[in-house]
Amino acid sequence: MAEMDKLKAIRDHEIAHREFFKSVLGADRLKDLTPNFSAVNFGSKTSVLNIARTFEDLGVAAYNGAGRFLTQDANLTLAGKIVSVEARHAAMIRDMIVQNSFASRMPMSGMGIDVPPAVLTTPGKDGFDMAMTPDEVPALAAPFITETITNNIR
Amino acid sequence: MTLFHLFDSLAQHDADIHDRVSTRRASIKHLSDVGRKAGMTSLALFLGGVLQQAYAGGNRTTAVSAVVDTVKFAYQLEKAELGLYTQARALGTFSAANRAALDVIFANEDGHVAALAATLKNLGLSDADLANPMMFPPRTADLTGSANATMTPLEPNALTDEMACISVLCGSEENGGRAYRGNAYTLKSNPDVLQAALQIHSVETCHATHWREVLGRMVWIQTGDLTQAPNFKVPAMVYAKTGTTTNGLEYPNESNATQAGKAGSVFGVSADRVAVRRGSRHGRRDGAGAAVRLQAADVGFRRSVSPPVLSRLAASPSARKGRRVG
Repeated sequence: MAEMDKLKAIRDHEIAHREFFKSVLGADRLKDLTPNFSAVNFGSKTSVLNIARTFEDLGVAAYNGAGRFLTQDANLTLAGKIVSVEARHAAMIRDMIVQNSFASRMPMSGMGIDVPPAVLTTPGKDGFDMAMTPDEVPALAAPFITETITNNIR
Repeated sequence: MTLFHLFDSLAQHDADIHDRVSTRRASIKHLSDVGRKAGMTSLALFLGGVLQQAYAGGNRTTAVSAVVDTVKFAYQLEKAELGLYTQARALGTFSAANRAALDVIFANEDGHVAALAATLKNLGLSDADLANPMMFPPRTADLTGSANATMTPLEPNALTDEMACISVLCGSEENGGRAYRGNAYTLKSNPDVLQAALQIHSVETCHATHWREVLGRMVWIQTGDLTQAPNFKVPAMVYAKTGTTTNGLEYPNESNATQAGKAGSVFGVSADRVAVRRGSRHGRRDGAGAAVRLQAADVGFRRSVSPPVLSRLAASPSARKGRRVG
């Protein structure tokens, strides 16, 4: 599949996810957000793919860290079904940047997150994707969103 | 209150606590190291594990039993995968690039097995338990999916053909993904173990993704997966809508276009192709062939039933033809 088609498909998946959450959350959902991509060089494939990877990695980490806050079994299952697609996106984009980096927890450059090198390269210690808390995630996404998001989890 | 004050106060109520639980600083430190290797950071988990070991058997709650059972299942699954990758790495059929991918995934699965063993021990199992063949029947990996020559092979060319082998590995990863998704809810009562399982699950999905790419398939589930084709038979089985299995049970995926009881049209998905509803900012249709899919896994299978694909890829070495043992 051509690279542009892959990115379009990811876009469409994210739309499906967004609309799904809208329909499930109803009035409880966050208001629509205004993205701020001024830091991205859309004329550079590398820049675009790196930002895409960053967002996918952050998404996976967000879902993995949010699982513990879901109290209903059905919601946990649904979140699992969505995060696995985000992981597929992440793996695919990583391979587009560097072949065979599909499972690498590369540092998320530009977002202030560095996975310790020892964790990336030591056999047996790897094998775990990241998990981040609902406080950490909005802070990391903040540079790319005009509005301020805070979590309401108590 | 320090950890040792806690034990001392417990000792006032239970004179045998110091016999039941090794409270020497060395053993507590060991638990902390195990925790780091397991990828978990909660002291509460280890304290719970220490106390659970002390009081296991009599006072174990239903919720804790469910967690232990699920982690045992995951442990068996990861060991089976590790066995398949060990077998694959010994083959001479892989290109340099695919061999490198094998090594990456092997290291991950090795980490998963170690982490789940550590988790089981912190949930109360002993080294003797982990080595107990009644509790964890030994399995021999079989890439051809013949349950070590006791059944018709799923993929007879797995040992001689690189893509055939990769299709089996891909199926194993997809199978594992369904297993984690289907059983995650049983870990709800232990948030740290749940999180660790989620962190493993997303990596398994990354593995499946890479093998799909290598096989020239779409990286996400789609209708075409279900068509038996060269080098995609095993992954397709993982999501088969229909088909018979040796125990008469099927594990079909639900319709992708329906999620949480809501029809896909509600959130802009049609069954076979991209269709974005008018009114969204991207209100146009793409051509057929680019299907939008949410993950095709349904609630997966219950932990108490061994998935038919898995049972053929990792069979007990003592299995007799026509009868499964263990």
